[in-house]
Amino acid sequence: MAAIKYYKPISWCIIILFSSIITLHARTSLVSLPSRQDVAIRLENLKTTLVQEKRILTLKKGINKINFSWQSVMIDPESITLQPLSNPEAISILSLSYPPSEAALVWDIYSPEDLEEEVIISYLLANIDGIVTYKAVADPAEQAIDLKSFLVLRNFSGENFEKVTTFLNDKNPFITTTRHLETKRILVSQKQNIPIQKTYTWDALKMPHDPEKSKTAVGVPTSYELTTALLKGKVRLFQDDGQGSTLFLGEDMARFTPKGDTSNLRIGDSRDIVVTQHRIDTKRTNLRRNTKENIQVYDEIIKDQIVMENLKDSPVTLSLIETIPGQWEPFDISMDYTLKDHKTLVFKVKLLAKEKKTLNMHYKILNIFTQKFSRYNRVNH
Amino acid sequence: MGKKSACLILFAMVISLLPVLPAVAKIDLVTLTDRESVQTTIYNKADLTLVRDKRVLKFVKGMNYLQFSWANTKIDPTSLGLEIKNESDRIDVVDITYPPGTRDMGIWRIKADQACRVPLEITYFTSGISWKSYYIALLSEDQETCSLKGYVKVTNLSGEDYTNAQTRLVVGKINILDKISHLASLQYPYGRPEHIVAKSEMRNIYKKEMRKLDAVQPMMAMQSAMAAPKSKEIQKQGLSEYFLYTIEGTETIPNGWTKRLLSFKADRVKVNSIYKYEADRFGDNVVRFLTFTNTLKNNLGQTPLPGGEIKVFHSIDKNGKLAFVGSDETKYIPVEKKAELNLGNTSNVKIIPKVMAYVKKNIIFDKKGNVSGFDEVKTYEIELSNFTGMSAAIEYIKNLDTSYFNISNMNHTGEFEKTDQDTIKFTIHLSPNSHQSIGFTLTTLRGERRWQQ
Repeated sequence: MAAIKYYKPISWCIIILFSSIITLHARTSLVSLPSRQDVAIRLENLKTTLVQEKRILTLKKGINKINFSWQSVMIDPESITLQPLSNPEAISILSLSYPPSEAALVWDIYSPEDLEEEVIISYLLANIDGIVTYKAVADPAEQAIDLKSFLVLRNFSGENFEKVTTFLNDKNPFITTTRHLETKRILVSQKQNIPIQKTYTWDALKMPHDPEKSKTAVGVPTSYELTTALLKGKVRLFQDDGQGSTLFLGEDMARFTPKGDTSNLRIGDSRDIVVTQHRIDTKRTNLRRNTKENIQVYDEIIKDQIVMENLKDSPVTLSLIETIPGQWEPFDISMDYTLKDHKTLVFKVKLLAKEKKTLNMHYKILNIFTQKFSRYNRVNH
Repeated sequence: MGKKSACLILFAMVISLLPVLPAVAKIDLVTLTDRESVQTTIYNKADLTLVRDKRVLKFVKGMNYLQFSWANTKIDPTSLGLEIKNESDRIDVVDITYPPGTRDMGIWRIKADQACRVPLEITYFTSGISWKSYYIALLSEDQETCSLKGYVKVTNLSGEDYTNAQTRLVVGKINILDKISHLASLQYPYGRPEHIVAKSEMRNIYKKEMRKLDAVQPMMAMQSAMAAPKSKEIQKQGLSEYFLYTIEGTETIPNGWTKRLLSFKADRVKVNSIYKYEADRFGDNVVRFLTFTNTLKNNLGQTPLPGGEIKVFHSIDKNGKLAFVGSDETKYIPVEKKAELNLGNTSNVKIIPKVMAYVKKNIIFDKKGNVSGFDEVKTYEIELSNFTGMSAAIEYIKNLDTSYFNISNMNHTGEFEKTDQDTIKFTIHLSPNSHQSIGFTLTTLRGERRWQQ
């Protein structure tokens, strides 16, 4: 927000001034000090809160000056709008002026006659926002979760809102009260029995290749994959332990997930799946040289061996991700894979309980440059 | 949780009329009942304990206010949860408010469509309670088996007593975004929306307030009068990617205290000693490793073994004389996997590698007549000596600086393995008090010779 101002102490006012366009001498008088009829706070954009309040303005025929000022709250002055509701076609908002060095503005509003006009005033208010958190409980078989969504309303705006209608989205607004310096967590929705798929992902770029040599146990990242709309927020995941209680499985930050999209929520690491990768052989071939006999281009033949062990009592499907940069071609890759992109191979490996499988990758990386074009050994987007 | 301390902790749950709240049509005082039970689930890889506090409360028709405060504890306010176990369709937990001008306090609004008495659970995370496992292994006289005892040790520095709590320990690594101790220390539970960073008050959470076990000792005395005490069993259960250890009955662990419990005991666990020489990892030393497998056949294998320190002793005679052999930190040991304990350097097995001959061959030149490559040929002799009085398995591991090499003229009849593109491993079994040597020729291709294969 631009030009946010901060004043003390707290006070709000709207003063309506009247001036006649008929006489040369401005005739002004305090017409009314309307109180708020209805207030809504809108949190669709969670970081920036829009406040909308309805007020009844008593307008005189002619140009009315409406002074809107604020203290001890942080309003983006450029965000303030006034919308007539009762007689929008008759009422004209002529101009908006910002007095110097004041947290205030003045609307010039033309009214064709004396009337009471309901208006809605909207503005962005700082230091009040909403964050979303979730609590998910998986069933004992880890086939589905029950998901509770909470809105955490943090009000440090300097303003108290009594019985304010709160919108997290267009559907299901709710009425609550929020006071300055208060934080409130409100249950906003519950979804039952959302299907989940448990996934184990071992990425050769991220994981240690020889867990035996690691000083601490290496775990394979484990996630729940689910297809449900989510706002960005922390998800705490639990599991029904079958004994009338729950076990905390872990937490993750859900990204904004539109309806129909899939998200992954990491719960923790599985230390009962062990993946070990060794490079068995590397050989350079097809050397090409310059007149000084320096190698300019060569190919590399590589043999990698990946051993996967499932030490659990139940079968799992492991997503194994291998990356081969640059121009390459396979000789013999012992398992089926899909190409996520030109360099990323994804193997979906089904491992029965206590099963061990070995993936052998024999491939060639072609046309590796040694000198000034070496940056082209990797493909850049 | 135990009785409240006069000066340390006020962990109270009261239902009250709150003058700061707006007037509502129906607010009534609800009788506070005693805690039915408490359960703690303690994670060892994260400073996190899930506490589940079960109570039965009476609600009046209309809106009920439940105030919960936790001063001088390490509770994460964002984790506070309230679950109605029965009658959940008649009772609605509307929201929880962290009121302005207060700290370490939350107020639930609970709406009941009629007066009722219902069981509920208050759950929250706290930091400051930890557990760890450790082991004591006693090697037999012949050092071929050991008896292995596993212990769990629970330490409570949470600022709160936990009396007669069902205690569960979780083996596993959970994903955590924020440290619970950090969340517990925040002035505002979820922080502030702006960038004004409130000074975090340093809370004097480690006050040394010696809480007495008076409340529980009479109970323990009564129990001992009734029956001879026996050590508690720990039930083990796999859940998701974790293992849950549930300690039999309940435990009382006052703040500042540590309690140790026997987790398991296994006799005649087959162990193997392996003596390794690997210059890149251990320098010019022989390191003794003790291995055992976590299998049913080996009187283990019921569950994974959590990581922890293991102290190894050697039984010298049948009169209980012991010698300390060494100690190591074990990693998490899944079922069916081998544990390998580094017991440190030893002089009872010697491994001396020697280069007995060195030749440069096949020297090649570029067009300018400069040397562009050659073969480096080293003849190795590895002297092995076992002074232990027991047979010894030896691994000689050599890491090379290139993958362009070959091995020839090997006079070793045991196991030989190329473990990856630049590592070779010889495995040798030596009789007690014996000597042996193995030999091989290592040819390494240097410079342009690498491309002439």
